Amino acid sequence: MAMKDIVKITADTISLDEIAKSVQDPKAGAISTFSGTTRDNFEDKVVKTLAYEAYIPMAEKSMKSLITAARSKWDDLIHVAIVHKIGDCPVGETSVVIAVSSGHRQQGLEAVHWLIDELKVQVPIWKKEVYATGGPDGSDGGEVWKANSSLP
Amino acid sequence: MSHFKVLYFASAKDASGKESEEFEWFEGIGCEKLTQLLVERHPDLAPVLKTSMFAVNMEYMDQGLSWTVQPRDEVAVIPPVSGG
Repeated sequence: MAMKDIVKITADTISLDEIAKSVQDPKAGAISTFSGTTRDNFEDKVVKTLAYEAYIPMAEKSMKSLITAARSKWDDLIHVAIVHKIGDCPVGETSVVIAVSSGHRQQGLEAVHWLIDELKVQVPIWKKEVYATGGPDGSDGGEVWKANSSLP
Repeated sequence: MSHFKVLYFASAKDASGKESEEFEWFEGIGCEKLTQLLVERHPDLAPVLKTSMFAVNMEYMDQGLSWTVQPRDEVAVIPPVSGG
């Protein structure tokens, strides 16, 4: 059985539906997914827009190695897809989707959880938040490159 | 003359004002020497490099191990990542 490892970094809008469909398989009893969306606040600041950038070839390579590592930890996985958006990502839009098909649900759910945690730690992608000015929150605008909680 | 390429992302790109540039290669450029070369050219990179990692040819370099840049290597300054 040919198992698909799908990784993509794209400036296009991400569709959870399409990505979930891309991992469908007659042998799958489960398709587990994670969908990350951009939130509109950081501490007391109002986020106006967000933008992602990536070291695209390394990010794709790194996502592929995460899939390989996941397959060695969980042997019930069938197809795995990781798609991350770059460029402007308005508040509320999907920034990342992970979808895993598996024979049974347990390993798929575990793999999805592990994949998003590892992606946030080691895949070279960066998020910039641009804050609103003069809003009721009293923030004075500005922009910040964010950092996830731990380094590899 | 041999060169190597340095790529800057996120806060490193803001601090250097560039996406990438070439450096002249010579023998023995490890983590410390590389940091020094980058800061000499772009003093604003100093605070960014304190929290960044280097990737060479798309592999993270372990700061505890000894490694040196080779001619035509692609070095990337990787500030703390924030994907997801």
